[in-house]
Amino acid sequence: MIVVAVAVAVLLVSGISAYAVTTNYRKGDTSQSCDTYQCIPRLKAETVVKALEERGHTCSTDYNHQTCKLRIGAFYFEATLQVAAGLITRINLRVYREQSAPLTPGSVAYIKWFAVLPYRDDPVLTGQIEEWVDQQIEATEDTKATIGDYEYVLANPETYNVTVEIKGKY
Amino acid sequence: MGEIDVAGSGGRLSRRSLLLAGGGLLLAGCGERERPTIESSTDDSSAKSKLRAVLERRTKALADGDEKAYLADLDPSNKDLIARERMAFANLRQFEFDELKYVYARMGERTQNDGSTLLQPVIRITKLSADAGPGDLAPGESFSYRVADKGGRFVVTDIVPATRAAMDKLGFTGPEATAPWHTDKLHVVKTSGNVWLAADDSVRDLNKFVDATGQEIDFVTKLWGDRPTFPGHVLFFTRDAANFKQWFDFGTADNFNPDVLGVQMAQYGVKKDGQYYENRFAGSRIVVNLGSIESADSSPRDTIRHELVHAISSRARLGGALQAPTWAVEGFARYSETIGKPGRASAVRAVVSNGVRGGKFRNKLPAEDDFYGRDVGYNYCLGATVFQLAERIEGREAATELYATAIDTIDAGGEFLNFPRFDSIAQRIFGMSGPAFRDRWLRFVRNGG
Repeated sequence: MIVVAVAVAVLLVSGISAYAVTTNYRKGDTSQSCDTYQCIPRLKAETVVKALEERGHTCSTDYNHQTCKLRIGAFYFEATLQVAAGLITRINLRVYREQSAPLTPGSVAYIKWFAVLPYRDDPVLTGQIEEWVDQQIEATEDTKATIGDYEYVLANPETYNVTVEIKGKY
Repeated sequence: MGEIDVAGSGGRLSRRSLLLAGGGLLLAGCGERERPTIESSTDDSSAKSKLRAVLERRTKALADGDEKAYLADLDPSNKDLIARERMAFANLRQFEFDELKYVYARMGERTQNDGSTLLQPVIRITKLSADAGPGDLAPGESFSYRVADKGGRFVVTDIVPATRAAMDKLGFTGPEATAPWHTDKLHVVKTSGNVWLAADDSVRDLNKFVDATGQEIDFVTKLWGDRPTFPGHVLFFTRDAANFKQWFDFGTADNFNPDVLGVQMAQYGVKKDGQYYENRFAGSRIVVNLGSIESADSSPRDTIRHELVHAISSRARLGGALQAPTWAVEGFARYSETIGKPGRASAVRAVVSNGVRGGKFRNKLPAEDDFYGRDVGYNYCLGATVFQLAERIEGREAATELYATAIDTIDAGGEFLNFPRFDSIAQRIFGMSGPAFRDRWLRFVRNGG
């Protein structure tokens, strides 16, 4: 089951990202206005949802939220996207595992895949964000971070219910 | 809105964020901005983070012997909590720990109606110097912590050790925290060889048992030889029936009987995720029920020896759902009581003879189900006959070797002597076939042992 979880996460990472090497940033590169929020630029929520559905997630819509769920063996993955003007202004993740299951590389890859979405065109920064995720999980402490226009909160990495929130600053 | 933060513009950078940003800064060209940096910091505002800091302080305070610091984060208005923790501090300070640390892997957080927060299970690795587990795992205990902000200060308003009843009531699971140091003031004596004797207030004459325990430890150590064992022994003594029932939650066990003379509690080790590792044990605790021993006019030394035999060999014993056969565990301990004690050996033979005459013997060893039922005494003694015969055939070491082999075997039905692989065991230990040993054992039992 763990092997399957890893495979799914790896496939997901290759699902959306089409890196164009970004070296310098211009206004609008990292966020764009969406209604009264700041959103991930040039990435429609429906694109993310479609990618997740193609990888076995079951997705549903509730007002301005899209929630996608996937259960694989001892793991349960849940991603909720808050949508404004078709774009994503907030991402909430939950990786739930049965108590005896260790947090697998696949589960961490799932978190990383979402964490890098705002900067998916910058391979250097995505590498740094992935490293940051690894370090926080290794440190087993609740962490908050500001990365450009986004606030990240990673909580309970040492427990069976890891949560991550990524939201635009507004 | 929409501006890109650069290093240093958005508050204090942690060392970690600087490290992460180090390779990623790019010089900005005209009209361009630098790549965003990661400004990361530990989120210490949550109840969980605050409790973690409290527990780190308390752990240090315990190691330093600083009672004031140990109690400093507790709600001073909860006098009962303060009294309990003061007692626990005094108790724990009398033991020696190889490791005392907390595991948060399974901790959940629940806000209560009164504004306090319940954090549970908080699991503490409580490794005494007498413990040693597989892969360095150690015994653990879990607790429910209630915390709150009172007068602008974060305090622990209650700590509930995990008994079965407490876990049912509060809705959590975890290793039990039922050692006597949570509930009763203890007087602890350390003797030579990492041996710890602890007593409650009902035992004012603990020193009387120090020499006897030491002699019995010498005996069982010689009996067990150089096979795997723990570094030390921990024994608790009481004459208080309520304590005997309460300690290690023995009162809730299927085989609880207030007249039991003693009990040995093998301890599972706790993994990083807070779950037990159940295949092997990581420590042992003994409770000697002096009240029952004295009521039955029995010998404390027989009980101490019996429980020490369990303890010294439990590191080599299968645990968990597929545990070692009880006939072997109890039978060998009963057999050990007869060594060098003809009177005790004669009593065991009488129990077996009466059982055979009473039609209890069905040509096999006692099965797991109902071992501790109506025929418990007979079952102990019938188990002992295997080792008495083993000693008669090949000597005491052979009896111990048979025991060490049997407790690493699964035998729920009492069929050990009929197993095909018993043939190779019998050949190895006794130089005879399995069926030949079994036939001799059947005759031995029918002839009264």
